[in-house]
Amino acid sequence: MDQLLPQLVNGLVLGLLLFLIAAGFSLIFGLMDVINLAHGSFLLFGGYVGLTVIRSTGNFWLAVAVVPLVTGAVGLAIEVTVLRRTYTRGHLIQVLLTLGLALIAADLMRWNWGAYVESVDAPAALAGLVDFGGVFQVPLYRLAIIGFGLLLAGAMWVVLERTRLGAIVRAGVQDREMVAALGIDIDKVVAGVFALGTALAGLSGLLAAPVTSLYPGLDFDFLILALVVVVVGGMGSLKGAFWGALLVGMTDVLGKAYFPEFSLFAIFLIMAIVLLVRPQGLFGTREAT
Amino acid sequence: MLRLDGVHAYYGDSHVLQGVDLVVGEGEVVALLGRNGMGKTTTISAIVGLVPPRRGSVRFGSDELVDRAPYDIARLGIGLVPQGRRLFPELTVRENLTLAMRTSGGASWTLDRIHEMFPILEMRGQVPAGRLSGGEQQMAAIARALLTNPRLILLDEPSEGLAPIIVEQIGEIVADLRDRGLSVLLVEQNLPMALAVADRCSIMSKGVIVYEGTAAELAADEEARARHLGV
Repeated sequence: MDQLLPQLVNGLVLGLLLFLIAAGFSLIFGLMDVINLAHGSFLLFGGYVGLTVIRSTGNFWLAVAVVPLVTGAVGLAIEVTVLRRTYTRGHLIQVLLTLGLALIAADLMRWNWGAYVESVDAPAALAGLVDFGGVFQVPLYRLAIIGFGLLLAGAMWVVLERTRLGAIVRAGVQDREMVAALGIDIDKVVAGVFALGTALAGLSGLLAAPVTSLYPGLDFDFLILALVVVVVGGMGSLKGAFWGALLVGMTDVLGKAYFPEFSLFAIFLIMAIVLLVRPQGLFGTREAT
Repeated sequence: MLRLDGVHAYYGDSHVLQGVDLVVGEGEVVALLGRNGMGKTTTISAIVGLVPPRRGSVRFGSDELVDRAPYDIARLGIGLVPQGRRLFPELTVRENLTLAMRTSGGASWTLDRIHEMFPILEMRGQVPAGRLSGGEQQMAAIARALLTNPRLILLDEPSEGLAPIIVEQIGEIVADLRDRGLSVLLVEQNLPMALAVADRCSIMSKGVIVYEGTAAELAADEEARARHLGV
């Protein structure tokens, strides 16, 4: 029983980390109906750009400011040049395009940052351990992940639900033509959403890096985790991504602690059960495709 | 203020508009009548750029609208109240209204003035628009268009699917807009309502305008009504 509390804390940490990983994917899918299989690439790219900034300046927080600008700009360029052409052509072409981009990005990143595992140090202000009454200790940075995740979830909720821009974006999901007929340049809004989603992905990749380290192949690990989270939580629902991430995180940690033999596929087991019992996901309104 | 000259438009392969000529003058209410499937809604869509015309010209004031993007056309001062209202059902009534609010253009509609004109929309402000009654939805759609502060408003079958008493109310709203100096192009199936508010009437058949006259002339011309409208 004295093992339960630390496991719950670890589950919470992993859950919020998964939310960070899945948030941009969920945003882009939910608001643009675009399946971005290059999402994991943006995460890893963000981590690597952050690594470069930290190595050359020693400043983690500068990296936090720079990374979303860089990955968001790359996302915007991709939306304007190629992705935009796929909106009327269905998911298959989007999947092929973004998977192709992910493969190219994987090689480019390996070429530039090498094939070794690179660790990223947590910022000095968040280094060290937090002691829970002498019973167990958790690295402060992992607790900070909980804070980052909650902050991000709150910020996304406020922007989407409480601002005019959020209302325009949600209206665009329902009827893009009508939004345009009211004098709103919806193409620009859509491009902005993609840029925001990819900026978020880059930032999340950087924030995750001190926990996960960075290595070739992490992009696809991230992508799979993001897919699991949105399938469990519900395709295209921010609330779903949040609770789905927590459920997957908790199950993974508790599963590993109490049933180690299942640890490798615990999260896929949840996904399989959700798909069988509730194919649209916990908070989803439409079926997974 | 609005002038269509020889406008041709297609839906896929079908040649829906086959040379439409239509004029709406400053401060005028023009009713566009005709049976179903004759191209009335496509005419509206062609004006706002949602179905871009392939030939012909659409002029609004001194601006040519053909080949402009829909958002650009709307910003010139054209408000659309589309067929079926097309509110954003999951957004609240208030969000539907404030979404497109713009201060440019001729009039100066504000949320307060809209709430004065349609108190029900203020009362139901926090309700998802999809849960309003048909009449309330129509008012919200008109209010949404007004808040873009247009000089010309396009109303596509505002009476569709509404009870007679509500249709009367909508008619009064349109008359009120006319009295405030707004130009209106009104597509209608409901002839009495159209005749009550319109200055002039045009009737469409098979993609062209086949009759033009004042509302009084059409009201008196039994033969034209029987031939083109079947009433």
